[in-house]
Order: sequence, then structure tokens, then C-alpha cells
Amino acid sequence: MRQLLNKALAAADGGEVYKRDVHSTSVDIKLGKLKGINADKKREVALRLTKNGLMGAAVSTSLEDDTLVDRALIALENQKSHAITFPNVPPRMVFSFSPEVDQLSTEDLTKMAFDLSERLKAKAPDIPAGVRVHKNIKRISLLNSAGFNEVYDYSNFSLSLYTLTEKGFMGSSKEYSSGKVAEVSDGDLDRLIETHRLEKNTLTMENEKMPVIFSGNVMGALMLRVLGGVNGGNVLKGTSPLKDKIGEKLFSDKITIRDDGKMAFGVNTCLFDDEGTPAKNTVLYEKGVLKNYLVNITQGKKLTQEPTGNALKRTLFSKEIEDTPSVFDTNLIIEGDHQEDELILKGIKRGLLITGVMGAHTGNINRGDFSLNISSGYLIENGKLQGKVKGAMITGNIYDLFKNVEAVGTHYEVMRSIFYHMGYSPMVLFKEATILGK
Amino acid sequence: MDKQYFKEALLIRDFCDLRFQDFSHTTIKGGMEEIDEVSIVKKSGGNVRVLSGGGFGSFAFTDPKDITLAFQEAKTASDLNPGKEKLKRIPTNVAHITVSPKADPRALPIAEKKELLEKYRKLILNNSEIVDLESQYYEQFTDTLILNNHGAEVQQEELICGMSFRITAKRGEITQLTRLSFGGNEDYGELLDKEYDVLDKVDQTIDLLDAEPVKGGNYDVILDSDVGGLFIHEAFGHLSEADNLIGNETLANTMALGATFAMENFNVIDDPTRLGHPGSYVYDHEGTKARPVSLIKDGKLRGRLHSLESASFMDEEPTGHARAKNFGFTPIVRMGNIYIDQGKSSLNDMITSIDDGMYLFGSAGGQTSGETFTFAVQGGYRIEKGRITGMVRDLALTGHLFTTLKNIEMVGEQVTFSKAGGCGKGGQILIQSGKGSAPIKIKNMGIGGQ
Repeated sequence: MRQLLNKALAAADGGEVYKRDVHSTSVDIKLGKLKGINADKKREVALRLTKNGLMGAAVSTSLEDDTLVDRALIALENQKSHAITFPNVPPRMVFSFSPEVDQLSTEDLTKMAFDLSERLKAKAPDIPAGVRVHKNIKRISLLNSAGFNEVYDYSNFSLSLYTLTEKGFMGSSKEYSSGKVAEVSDGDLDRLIETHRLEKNTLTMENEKMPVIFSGNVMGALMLRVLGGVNGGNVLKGTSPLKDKIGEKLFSDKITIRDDGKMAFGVNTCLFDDEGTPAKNTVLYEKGVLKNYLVNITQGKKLTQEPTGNALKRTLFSKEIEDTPSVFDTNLIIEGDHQEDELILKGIKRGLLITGVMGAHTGNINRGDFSLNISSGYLIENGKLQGKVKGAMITGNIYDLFKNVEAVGTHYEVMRSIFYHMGYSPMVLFKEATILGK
Repeated sequence: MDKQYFKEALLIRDFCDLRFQDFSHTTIKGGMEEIDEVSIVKKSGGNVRVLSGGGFGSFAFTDPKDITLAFQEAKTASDLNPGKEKLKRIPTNVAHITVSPKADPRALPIAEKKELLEKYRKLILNNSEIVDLESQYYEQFTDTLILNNHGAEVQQEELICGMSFRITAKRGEITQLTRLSFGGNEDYGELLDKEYDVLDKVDQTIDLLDAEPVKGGNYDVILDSDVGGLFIHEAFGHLSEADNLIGNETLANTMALGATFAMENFNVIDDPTRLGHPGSYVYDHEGTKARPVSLIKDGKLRGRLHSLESASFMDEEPTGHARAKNFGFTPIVRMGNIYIDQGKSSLNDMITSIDDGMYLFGSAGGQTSGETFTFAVQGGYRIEKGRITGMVRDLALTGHLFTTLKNIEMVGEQVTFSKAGGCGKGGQILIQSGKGSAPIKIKNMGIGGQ
């Protein structure tokens, strides 16, 4: 890395070398049979350099790629993106790596998947089901001309359980993802089976407004819109509705949202972000009051805010090394006046529990709009789940919806934003939401 | 790319294949202010698969020196799978496919491509109500070597370039977002002289600021070719991908060939061999020569898309539809260019047949989960008593696949393909996935306003 940086500095004013070594394995079991095992061992390198106030980047799969510096210079000469000042702030230790995950062999992962498949089968022999187990180990190294020279290891263990309907389509599901090996309780399996069996009792809805519970996993579809609002880039462009609203109470005081890159063994925990800013814990909304935006180095200067450690090489649909570092979530955490999940459910006379949606990526995300198909939702009457709702949608805008937070649950689930996990949330009860039925 | 080195690494026993790819991707991106990102990505790597046990084991790598490790790991993974699966048909094609575009984007300097994007950017921004713009030129070239230990040796170049724009207009509290794409094939010439298309899209975006939000409910709708293509991709295309059926007998029964899915004269085809679209190619990533597949013929399920594995499982012929985003991924069954074939109804006949409904234009992303699907559109026109009246905005559609297919009442006379593709199956965003359609009329479609 040092050699490449030196070569770059011979032609530029400043430089940064980012290296990512990845080793991952996935095991997939469907209906008790192993579908396949996929693994990889990849190295990718990104070079960014600055010259005369401009910036350029190039990536490769090898540190020895002779064309890296030239390609970065071509990029620099053809674009007007302004050079950032590479940071050199020493990061503090985070817990992003678990040797226990690292040491899992392909055989171990396969056995785990089979064991879970068998546990599900023993509880419900009549329900067709599947198990996916994924292990990901990364080593991230970053060296820049300001003197930053750090490395961290990252581990992730993800697990998903799902059932199939009588027609063979996806039924109920449950996901786990963190830096440590997930433990699946019998209670989790029982809930998966319970919701699966509700499939037999399908219900249609009228167009109506009613209380709605979003499960922790599905909160990701809404948090994608929260993220679009607090993204410093969108604030500066004027596409976020949150410009000049720091300090205003925009959500119910029953909810607090923060982004914690330092969370021990979180799904997106990192020592530093992809431009070298140390990970932070940033409160976005405290009891409904907007406290901070998420910003990278350049946006932070314009918004007079310290960079928050959220400049990540990714887009909504990819996590490729060539993606320009832009503001995304690390571990979004939803908190509030927690109430037991069971009590929240019991308190509802007529409402919906939503555990799956489609269309999270559509509509004007930065403005907070959503129009989601309820792919997995259950009608609640007098505190009990009655049956699975078919063909309904939920629509609205988060800046209306989040004013109506009634309760935040206790059992945290990993949130998903389309392809990727984005932190953790318990179930959240909204007093009223618009459901489009028949 | 050292072909001999890779050939010598192939295992002698059982089945194995190897795909090594040199991948380059050039991107020029512009925002509201300026062209702020130019990137030239070059990567190379490989992916091997072994079938020595009860299922495939695969391993991806970036360092060619890891080839032996890759085969060892893939074999270990395959052997962990109890049983001894064998492919019924294995390709042995030997071919070298090169691209020869009319106007080759690789021969042009970055500055020229940047200048063209800048010209269109300025046209769009010459309107004070445009408040945000994301513009992009992309160019992707791959040189892929596919080998297997039964003699297949296919080297194939693929090239695609295009431009895309996301345009946001705002007036007061109302914001509208539209998308525009052109290109989507190997010919740079198709990106030139698009001023009219650009200005037309700007006008449409501004017009949508005056449109009325729609009240959610069920309506008779006409989908334009772009939305029709998205509909058939999301609502039906994914179910025609036969890897979903492996080990899933109940779904295989649901998707039994001959089952009636739609009215007579309703035809759906997937054709990677149709040149000039995002999903056009000659060989898939298993070395099988791609062929057009009739998926629905006269309303009945006629065929499905296959990989080697799914074709073996169903005891059908491979169709050449196993593809991967890049070397980092194992091939899965993907659509090439899927489309609803032409029917006999004129657009005017469709409009006059609707008493209370909408004509919807411009796809804006979709998703499917088994029987249900959802997708967003850029805008629409209200149809009242057989006549187009005002514009409507903020629309998302949802439906049940089998019901919606049976609710298709009319199919237009002209098939048009979208200029941008894309599909995110299995977390593998594949830009080389095309879609098209004749306009279609669907009765009683669920529409959610926002």
C-alpha cells in the first residue's frame, strides 16, 4: 500500500489507498436439502488522489495494477469534484470482529443450517421451510498522505429462516445479522410457525385508517426515508425537507433515533468510515427533536458539523469498492419509551401488524413519501392476530407518520433496507396510518 | 487472461466449470452543479463451480494464483452436500464472440462523452423549476472466458453504454421525479441527437407539477410499453425463472406447462438473441448458447428460463439464461429481453373502452414476492368516459399475479423496448436485463396514491 501511495504522490498532491480483503461463505438449505454452497476470497483496492484542488479515483483487484495512478489522474482531470482534506484522527477501538465467526468452517456452517432446518421440521413437519447462513470476514486497510494508517477486521454472521406457502411462494420469515453468531430461540421458531399458519386465513381490507405496528425488520423501509432526510448531501441540495430544522420537534417525543457506527458487534460496525473518519454515535432525533444530520468531510464543512463517520462506499443497490463514499447508515438504532411487545399487541382493538413490505425503493424517498405493498401483514382484532392480509398497501409520508408514534417495543430485530441490513429496531406502533385495501 | 493456465487447472473428474472475467466500467456522473464524478473501473477475477456431490459448490477469487484453492474449496463444498447429482446436459460449445459496434464508445476520449452528457444536462437545467438532477453516462465492457471439463471453451465480449437521468421538479410543496434513459446497447451513436427526448421529458416533469394526486382504489388502466415491460418482468418474468422451482414441487405444480394464465392472443417471450437491447447476448455464463423462449403462448404457460441445473431438474433443455453480475457471483437464472408481444388493439380503442381509469407512463422501479407484485410509475393521464382528461401523479400499483394476468383485456399493436434495463435478483444488480411490451389494458388494477 505504501508503495502505491508513494507512486501516486509522485504525480499528485495527496493520496489515499483503501484495501478490502473479503472472505465469505453462504450455505442455503431449502426443504431440508442443501441447495448450494458459495464462497469467495477477494481483494480489491481503491486509490484516490488530489491535485490542484481536484480529486480523482480508480479501483482494481490488485495493488500491483500499473494503471491505477494513471486512471485516477484521468478521472481527476475530467471531473470537478473538489479535493477533500484527508483526515488523520486516530480512531478508538471498536468491537467489529468476532473470532468465533471467523473460525466457523464451511462444515460448521452447513451443520448449523441443517440443525436449524431439523429444529423447524421437528416443530412443524408439515411446513416447507428454508435456512440461509452467511459468514463474511473482511479486513479493511486505509493509508493516506495525512498520515492515517489503520486496519480493522470485521465479521458478520447472517441467518434467515423462511417458510413456503402451499403454492410454494415465500411465507413467513425471520432474519438475524450481527458480528456474532446468532442464537435462535424456540420462541422465535414458534412465532415463525404461528404467523405461517395464519396464511390459511386470508383477509382483504377496505380503504381505512387504523393503528399499525411495523415489525423491527420492516422499520427499515421507513428508516430509508428518515436517512434520506438527515443525509447532509440532500440537505445541501435542498431535496431533503430538513434544511434549517435542527432543533425542531418533527417526530413524536416517544421516539429517539441514532446512528451508532461503534455499536459492539453491530451489523455495520466499523473502526472508521471509507474515507478515514472514526466511527461515531450520532443522535439524529432525540425524543422527536431533530439533533444532527449525517455528513461526510465536505458536507460537514458546509454545514458546520463534524463528519459523522458515515461516508461509505455504497449506493442503495450496491456495496462495490468503486462506489464513491457517500452518506449511508451504519447501525441505526430506534429507541423510546419501551413497552413489552405483547402489551402493544394486546392494546390494539383493530389494527395491522406489518412484517413484510415491497416497494421500499420506489417513490420520493428523500421527501419521505412511501407507498408500500404489504407483502406480509396480519389483521389484529382485540389484541389477537386474526389472519393474513392480502393485496393491501400502506401509503403516506414519514413526517406525518412519525408524529403518531404511540409505542416502541422491546425485542430488537435487524432492519433491512432493500438489499442491505441497516441497524436494529423493535416493533413500533403508529396511532394511525392509511391502508388501501380493495 | 491466460487461457491455458486456467484449462490446466480444471478438475478431471466430476463436473466443473470456470469463468474468468476482465471487467471495465466507465462512469461519468453529473449533479446540479457540474460533472462531479468520472470513474474508470478495471477489475478481473474468476468463479469456479464443482458438482461432485449433491449440489454445486462455488468459489470466487481475484488472484489467479488462487485457482487451485478455488477448485479445492468448491469441491469440498459440493461434497458436503449428500448425494451425487449429475447434469443431464452439459454444453461443449467452442466459440469466440467479439463486439463490433457501429460507433465504438471505447474508441472515444472521455472528454467527448463528458461533453455530450454536459450538453443534455444544460438543456435540462435551463428551467428554474428543476431543483435536482442526477445524470449519468455508463459504459461497461467485459471479456469473459467460460471453460468446463467437458470441452466448452467460450470467450465472449459484451459491451453496453447508455445515459440516464433522474429529474426532479418542484413548485411550492409539490415535488415530481421522472427518469429518462437512452442507449442500452453497444452503439454509442444511439446516444447522439437526443435533444428532443430530453426537452420532452423536462416538459413532462414540469407538467406533472400541475397533475392531481390520485385517490387510491381499483381502476381500469392502460400501461405504456415501459410500464408494461416492468409489469411483465416483475409480475411474471421472475416466476418463469426455473431455479425457483428446484426442490419446490408445489411451485412447480403451480407453474405447470399448459396452465392457462391469460386471455387468448396474449404472448410473452424472452429473447436474448434480439440484438440491440440491454439483455442481448450470445452465450450465457455457463457456456450455453442463448435462445428465445416462448413463455406464454395464447394465454397458456409454454416455457421457462433455465440454467444447466434447473434444466436437469425439470428434464428440459437449457435455454442459456444463467448469468451473473460479475465474476464475484455464481450464475443464476436471469431474464434476457422479456416482452409482451404485439396484439391487435389500437391505443385509441383501449382509451375509448375505459369509463373511469388511467393511462400510466414511465416505469419507476418495482418488486415482486411470489404471487404479489408492486411497482411505481412516473405519472399518468386520467381517462373519463373514453377520453383522456388531466394528468395524475404519485402512483404506485400493486396486484396479485394470476388475477392481474387474467385481467389483461387488450394488447396494443406495437412492441417497444425500454432503453434501460436492470434487475436486482439475488442481490446481483444486472444492468444487462431488457424489457419491452406493447401497451396493455388491465381491468380492476389496485392503485395506491401517495
